Amino acid sequence: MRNVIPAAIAIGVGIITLLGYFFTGPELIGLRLVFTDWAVLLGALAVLLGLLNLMVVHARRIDSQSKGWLYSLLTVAAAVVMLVIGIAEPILSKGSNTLYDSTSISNLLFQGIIVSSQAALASLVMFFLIVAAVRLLKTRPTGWSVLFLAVMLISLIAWLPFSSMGLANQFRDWLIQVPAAAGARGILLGIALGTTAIGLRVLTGLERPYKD
Amino acid sequence: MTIPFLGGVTNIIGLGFLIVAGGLLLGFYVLTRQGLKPDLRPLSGYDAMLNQVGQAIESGGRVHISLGPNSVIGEDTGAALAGLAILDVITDTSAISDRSPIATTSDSTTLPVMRDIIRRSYRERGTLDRYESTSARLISLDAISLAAGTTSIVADDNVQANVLAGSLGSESALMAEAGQRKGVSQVFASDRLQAQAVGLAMADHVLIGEEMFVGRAYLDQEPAATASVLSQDVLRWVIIGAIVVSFVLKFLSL
Repeated sequence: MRNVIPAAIAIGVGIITLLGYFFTGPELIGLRLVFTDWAVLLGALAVLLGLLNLMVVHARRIDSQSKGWLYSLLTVAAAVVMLVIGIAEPILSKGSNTLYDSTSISNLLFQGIIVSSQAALASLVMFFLIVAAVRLLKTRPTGWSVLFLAVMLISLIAWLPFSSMGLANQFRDWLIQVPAAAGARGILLGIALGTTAIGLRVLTGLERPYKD
Repeated sequence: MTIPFLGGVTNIIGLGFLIVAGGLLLGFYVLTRQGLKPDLRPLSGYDAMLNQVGQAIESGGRVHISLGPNSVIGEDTGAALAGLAILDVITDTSAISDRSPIATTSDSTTLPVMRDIIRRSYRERGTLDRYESTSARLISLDAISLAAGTTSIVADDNVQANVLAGSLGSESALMAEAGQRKGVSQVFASDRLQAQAVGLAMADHVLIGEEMFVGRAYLDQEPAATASVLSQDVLRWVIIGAIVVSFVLKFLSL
């Protein structure tokens, strides 16, 4: 019974929500929207649990002084400071919503630290990929590795803004529009089928990630 | 064309497709329960995955599995469920180890499900005393920070096997680079096109697109999962047939 009730609820809610997309009956659509709202609400509450999890993981690292514990200390301190600012700012500005105000301290900190550091990290990705592709030729020198590196280099070089690159540009466009697009659509089709299959497994109770 | 309460043609086709897919799934499920054992085409990623987990346990190391930014209440729920199925099987295998696997995500709705799956594996094995409550971790709330955060886990937490399975983007290069630098074996599975190049260049084994969704069938040989693979195959041939027929009709200007 302990396993049956959650499964029955999950399957029932899943089927009603799914049917709400196909049938136009107002009751069904209403129910679907209610379930979707509940999911969003639970998602928001899950963020609090996630924050707690983050704090516990780093607190344990600090407590055991495991490798990199100073970074954990920094993480906890940053989280606490941001939380305090996030709570105090609207109170000090007499209840106005500072969350979406671009000049608020929380937003300035977010833009100044998080966004810029993420941009820096993202810019490293290209270098990692090129190094990995060259390394791939050394460790696994197959025809596919050579093809991969060649296509990557052609695509990158063809982006250079020189007028003499006309032929390379055309070849790059063909690469992207014909073989790459065809392959991508094949992969996307497979992903859609996989998603459908796993969704149906959950809806029929054959797959239950929520057993406990 | 519209049918009362069912909307337009797209809805009819969509519902019809789901009914056929559901029928195929249940039909193949009955057949696999009755002993049908199809020969699934070999996927080196899954063969390697369990070997790597076994080797990590034997060497006293940990297994790290990242489910990426997938949410269980979003559009990428399918990939989240596929990643959770892989986590389930890996945790079942590694629950004999003294050290819990580490599962990471950047979505707070996936976190409690991950935690539940890991805990359940230990409970079912009767080794709940070895379960670490911090084995499921929310690293951040966005994908790039998750990638940056997991680099320190791979480097510092004695990780010996690195499994990346989720809707990972190009930022997963940071995660894979950390694994490469440490020399741990890696399996990479993503349903995002931009991550396929990362996986191909940086991981030892890559599971492309739909291959990520068949983990339970390959790792666990569960009848329902095997039935799901068979129904996917039938539907794929139906779609290929439809594409070929529509191409021929268009070519003949019919």
